[in-house]
Formats: sequence, structure tokens, C-alpha cells
Amino acid sequence: MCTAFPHLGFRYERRSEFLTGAAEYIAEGLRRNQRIVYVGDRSRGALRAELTGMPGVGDGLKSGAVEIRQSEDHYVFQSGSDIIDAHSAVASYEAAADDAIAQGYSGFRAVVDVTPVARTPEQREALARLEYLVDQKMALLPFSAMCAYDTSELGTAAAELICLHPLVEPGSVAFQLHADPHGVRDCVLTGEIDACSNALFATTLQRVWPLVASDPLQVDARALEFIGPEQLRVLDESARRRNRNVVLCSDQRIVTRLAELIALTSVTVAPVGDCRPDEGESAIEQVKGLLIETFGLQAQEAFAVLARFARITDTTVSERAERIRADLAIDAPDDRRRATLDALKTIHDELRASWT
Amino acid sequence: MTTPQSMDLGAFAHPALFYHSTTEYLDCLVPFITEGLHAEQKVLVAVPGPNLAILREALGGAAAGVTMADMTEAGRNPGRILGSVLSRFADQHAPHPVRMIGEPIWASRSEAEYPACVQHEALINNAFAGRDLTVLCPYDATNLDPSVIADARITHPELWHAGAKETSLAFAPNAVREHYNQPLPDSSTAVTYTVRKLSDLAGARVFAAAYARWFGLSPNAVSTLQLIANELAGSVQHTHGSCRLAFWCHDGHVICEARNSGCLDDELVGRRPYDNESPRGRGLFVVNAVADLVRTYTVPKETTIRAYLRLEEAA
Repeated sequence: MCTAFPHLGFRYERRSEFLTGAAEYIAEGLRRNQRIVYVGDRSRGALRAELTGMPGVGDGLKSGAVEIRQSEDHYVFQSGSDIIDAHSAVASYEAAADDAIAQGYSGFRAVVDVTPVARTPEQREALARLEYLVDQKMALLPFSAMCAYDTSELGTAAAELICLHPLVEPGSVAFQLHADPHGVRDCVLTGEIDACSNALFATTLQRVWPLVASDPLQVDARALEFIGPEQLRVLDESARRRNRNVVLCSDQRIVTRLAELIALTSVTVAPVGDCRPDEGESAIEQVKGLLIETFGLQAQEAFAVLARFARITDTTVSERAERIRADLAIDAPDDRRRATLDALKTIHDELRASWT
Repeated sequence: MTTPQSMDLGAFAHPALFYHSTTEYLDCLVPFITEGLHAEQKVLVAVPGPNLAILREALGGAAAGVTMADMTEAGRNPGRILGSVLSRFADQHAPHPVRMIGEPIWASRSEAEYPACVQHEALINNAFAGRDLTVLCPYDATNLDPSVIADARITHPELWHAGAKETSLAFAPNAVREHYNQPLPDSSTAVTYTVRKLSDLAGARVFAAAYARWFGLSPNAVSTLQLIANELAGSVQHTHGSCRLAFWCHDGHVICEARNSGCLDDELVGRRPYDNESPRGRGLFVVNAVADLVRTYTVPKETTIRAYLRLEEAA
């Protein structure tokens, strides 16, 4: 996935692997004029030493573009526990992205070693919620994160969280389930799901159901390379138990054929062309759609343009979107349409310079 | 597999009809169908396309009340006739008795297909014993080899000729199934891939796809071969041993064969409707459904399952 705001799930066994990955991720953020926060479970001094060892990061530290945070200061925990509070965490990321835009950055990216809050099943349950929710937001907002997991400590359990990221290192997980970065369908399912993945797939589905309200849930399965009949059953049974319906959007004949053969009750397979987003979308969605089409942007980049416009004009994002929609309406005066399009283009050009 | 030769079928009727002409065909089948409809029984006719056409014409308006399937498509692989055609129809209308006509053997059935056809005919008895329903199997006595007619006498407890009905003294379905349970010899051109644990399945699918692409199969056929390899090799989770996959092309087919050290001691495995199957049976049901032919050889400590995909359609 080529995007200015990639949500990366990263597994490592040695700290040096993590540092190499983090250095790349930070350098890319700095190049795009993004604000960076670097989070780890060690002393500030140690974290600073790690950062100064990364090429090109020293200047970012000096200018304040790169901030160091210790794990305990970064996470919000459910009271009296070591389990993170997913909703507060999402809110703080949103605020950080907002702040970054306000300070003139093009967005926000976090580099977080998440291992300390992924050790127990209860921690992972909450963290999975955060990963998915934050991914939904990242599909819309100009922020992103590299979430690193130490597999020498977490073992195979790391896969429970890494599979929720749209971007992973090749070979690190068999399948991925994450929010649709284009905001067209609810989520995207990619990779291969076979008998090895039964338990992981079931666990992942169980965790994601409560986080996506749409019914039917539309799953973009275009890049799903393999799903076995038993795993389609796992999906079907999981949906049925939750009283939910799923539409798998896929043009692969074998998936359609399998679905017919095993008589699914809660899952249907539909050709990609038949899976359309809901009618009556919000002004934000309409304006984003326009920006995506006009400038060839990712959804989150489109949102960044809209957010910047709102910031400059001191309005909220949804107010600005309503105004843009009115200004661009067919019956709007020509000069107003032109002015609005020019303003969007100027903001886009500025931001694009920092993305590419 | 030590079931006695004589099998108690209870209310289940499984006659073979030996016909010598279209007239004999229609004279027997049309009344069989219309009597069923008059008795408010559901009727299924699964016969080769040309026979389906003459029956439809002879039935006239009554054809509308009959479920029809072209057996050369629906039952191209004899291994799926029970699970996907006959049992499915019977179960849809259970507990009411149904009448089914199944003609699984025609003159151009290949040498590779034939043993699977006989095994299917024999297993119809096991599948429906005790159930109040009828499966009538027409045999073209003019064009089929006498040995085929001889086998039909062994797989059917009752024989119908023009106007006459007799009990088959040769009826011994389990014995004939054993007779056709013959080793499937190795191919000298096969390429092999051994699956030892579930995490090898991904590699097996990559291997299957590479082989399929090498032979210029269509993307859909590539995914079908991958699915077959996946479901056959998935046996490693049930047999606790390794499974050797072999791929080769022969006589217009691409073949995927799985060999392991287990025994298929459930004779109907893969031939029941999907929801009534064991996990192992569900995998074989899927293979039966997507392959053009499935051949099996099983003895204690060895099972070979061979799935065929037709090349002209796969390319």
C-alpha cells in the first residue's frame, strides 16, 4: 500500500530489527513533514540514544518534530489495571493529529513498541480493539502508526494484533483484516485463510464484530488469495452467532462456487460491482470522494486536505464540508465554484509536496 | 468393511432398468414419474441430456412438476451424485418419500470413470438403506458393454426389463465395491509435494498453482486445483501422518493425487450433504463437487485419492 499514512504492524525478534524498521518509518514521516512520537518501555535517555543513532533523526529531535514518550506516559489504562483503554487511546491519537495539523505539520505518526500492553489475553483483547478502531480512524484522518511487537516475548500471539494492520512485512501473518482505507466498504480481508488460521480467524472476527455497526457488513475480499470452505464456515458461524450478515465482495469464481456448495446462511458473496457504498453519505464523505477523484488521493489524504481547509478558515471539518458542497453545487455561482476549487487545489498542492 | 453381502434395505427400493430402445425407456419411466406425481411425491430425474430431452417431451405439461438435471454435468463426477444430487433432493423433502431416476452410466463413460460409477451405484444402497424412497437407475442395454450390465445386477437388488420385474440374485454391493477398490499406480511423470503439517498447506497451494500455470490453466482452474490440493492434503489433521501430493497430466486431465497412511473406513465419506459430514468428509465433499472425477483406493494403512480436472475446460 502506497500511502502517506500507513498503519504498519511490525514484528521483530531482536531490538536491532525494530530500530531498523523504526528508522525507516520515522525518516519517511519527517520527509513528509509529519509530527512523530516515539514510544518505548525504557528510560528517556535510552530512547533518545536509540533515536540519535538513526540517520537524519537528530534534527527532528532538535526542532521538536520528534517527541520521546515512555510507555507509562503514553497509554491510558482502564482504572487499576494494565489493560489499555482503547477509546481514550483513539481520542488521544485524534487530538495529536489535530495538534500536529494546527502546528503546521502535514499529519502525525506514532512509532510504538506495543509489546508491554500485549502480554496477556485480556491486554490483547483491548489492544485489538484499539488497533481496529485506530485503523478505522486512520482510514479517514491524517495520522498513522507503526505498531511493533516483540515475537521473542509474545510468540504466535503477536499475530492476533499484527493481522489487524493494513500494512505488514511480507510473510509476517497469513491474513489481514482491517478498515477500508478508501472508506468504500467496511473492511478489507486479504491474504490466505486455511486450516492453520481457524483459531486466529475466529478470534479476530469475534473482536471485530462489535466495532463495526453496519449490517450487512461489507468486506472487500478482492485481494483474498485463498479461503477454504471450513474457514468460510467459521465466518458464517461467527456472523450467525452475532446475528449479523456479511457480504464478501469478490469476483473470484471459486469463492462464489464454495459459498454455493456449503450453503452459507449469514454470508453472501457478491461481485465487486454490486457492492456499493450506502446512499445518502455525509458531506464529509462526498467532499472526500470528490477530492479522491479529482486529485487521485487516498481517503485519509483527502481528509487531510479538508481538515487543513477547515483549519485555515477556522471552521469545523463538517461545517467546511457542507460549505464546499454548497459552493460546488450545480446551481452555485461560477465565481464561488472557481474560488472553492482553487482553494482546494492550493491546499492539495502544499500537502502533496510534503507527501511525495 | 465386513458388511454381509445381502444388505437389508428396508423400505428403500433401488431397481435397475435395462432398456433396449427409446420406447422401452419411455414406457417404463413416464408412468414411474406420473404415478409419483399423482401420489404427490416429489420426483427427480437426473439422466444424460438427450434422454432428459425425450423424457421432457414425453411428459408434456407434467414435466413442470419434475426436478431435472443433466447427469453428464451434475453427475460428471460419480462421487458427487449422492451428496450433491440424490441425497440433497431426498433430504430437501424428508420425511416424505421421493422418487428419483439416476442414470450415471452411459456408453462414453471412460475407463477411468467407470469404477467410480460402479462404486457410486453400490453406495446408493448404503446411503438410503431403511429410507422410504426409490432410486431407479436406467441402463442402456443395447449400447453398454455386457460387463456393465453384469455389474448392475450386482449393485441393484431389483431388476426391471420391459414390463417384468425380478429380484437380483447377484446383488452384492459391498463385494463389487471391494472388487473395484484397486491400487492406483504411480505416474512416472508426476511431480510431488509432501505435506507433513498444516502449515505446509500454503506451500502445497503455491506448488499446485505453479504446476497449473505451467500447463496454461485458466485462473479459475488454477484456484480449483489449489482448492483440491488444500482439501486433500488437509487430511494431515485427521490422519496424523504426512500426505504426499502428486500432480500430472494424463488423457486430457490434470490430476491431483493425495496418498497417506490412513484408511477411509467410512464408505460414504464425502458423499453426504455437506452439513451432515464429518470435517474430513466436508473436505472430500468439496473435492467431489469441483473435480470432474475422483478415484479412491483405500486399505488399512493406505489411502490414495485422485482428483481429475478436464484440461479443455481448465485451459
